[in-house]
Amino acid sequence: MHQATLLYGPTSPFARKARIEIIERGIQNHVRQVAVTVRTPENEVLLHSPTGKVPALVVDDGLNQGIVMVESTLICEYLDTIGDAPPLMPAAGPERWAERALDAYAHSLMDAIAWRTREFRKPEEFQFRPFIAYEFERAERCFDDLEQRVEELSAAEISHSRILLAICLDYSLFRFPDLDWRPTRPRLADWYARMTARPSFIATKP
Amino acid sequence: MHQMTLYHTPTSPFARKARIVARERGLIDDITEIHAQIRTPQNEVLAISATGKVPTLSVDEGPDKGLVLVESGTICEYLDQFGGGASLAGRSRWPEKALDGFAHAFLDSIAWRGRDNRRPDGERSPSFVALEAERQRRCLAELERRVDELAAEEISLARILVAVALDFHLLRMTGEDWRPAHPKLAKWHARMAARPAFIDTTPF
Repeated sequence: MHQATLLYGPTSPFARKARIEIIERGIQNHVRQVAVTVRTPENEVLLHSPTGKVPALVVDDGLNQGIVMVESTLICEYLDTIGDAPPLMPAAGPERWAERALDAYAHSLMDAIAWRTREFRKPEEFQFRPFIAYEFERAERCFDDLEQRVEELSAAEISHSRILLAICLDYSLFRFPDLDWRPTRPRLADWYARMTARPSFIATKP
Repeated sequence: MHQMTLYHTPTSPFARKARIVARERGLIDDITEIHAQIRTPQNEVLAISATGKVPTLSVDEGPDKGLVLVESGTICEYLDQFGGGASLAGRSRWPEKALDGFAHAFLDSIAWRGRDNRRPDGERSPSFVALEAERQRRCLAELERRVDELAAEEISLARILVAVALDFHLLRMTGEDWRPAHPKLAKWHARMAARPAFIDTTPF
């Protein structure tokens, strides 16, 4: 029986993190998934949260019945408690904070790429060039940094942060196909190829 | 001896959440606060994080020495492990976290629109501004309805972020004072904003 409903947008990278976690932990039977269209009056999220944002998780489970969660980090933390599979997040100790630090870094990078994408969604005359250039540089800097940290990324097979980093890399190629980050970051490109070959990534491709 | 360094800007509302938590938890004497020159080549954060964002927390001593945290939610949960007084995690875990997530989404919307408002005149997108203004209107109405829930606990991570967001709305959305139409929320906000930790971190 399902314990929660995930409202997601098919192209939302933050929602994809939650959808991949559901597959990786094998809890598909516990979480109903509903695709919605944000930025329209029919946006189904608005029935549950005035933020109107995806991903949103509506909890149908006894004690927490009716709680509505937005923000992907929080949703993934909750999804980690569903079912019998081991959580993706280490429970305690230095490993926990190292993972949380990398997850927050990935979130920060994803925000930067998403902001830039949002800017391109505006009519052309309202796109603000200095902002686009600044956020492009931020992403490039992070890609260079990640190329130097590939051994750290490879030290664990999968985790919240690694899922989100691979989503960042994928989303950048999806939205900015002409700005391929791979040629100058060969080791990161290899790691990315391994991650996105996982069935969970293939099943959630935008 | 300072054990942590917190990079911030005086107007960043997400950094303000971390600065308020540091004060409410009595940790401020263990933290060096640095006003980072973000969006310039001199940005101090770039030496420790490629993101270049504030807030960023660097742990300089102790078992987590070398840990660098970005994202206010993560930084605040890290800080909340320390300090002498009561935890700010709230009485019930998931309702508290859900409120924090809501406040984060609300504040994100204000920050986006605030950034847009400061652009040159011809470079603001009316459809974008309208979408975010509508989102904020809905969130404010919801908070007014939920004031009893906010007031049920004196302070917590989520309540700090709600109050910071309300304050930032007043700072950035000039001419759109939300208080007259949300009187119960305005009273709650005034109590929160009168706390020493809020006064000490007033944006300038």
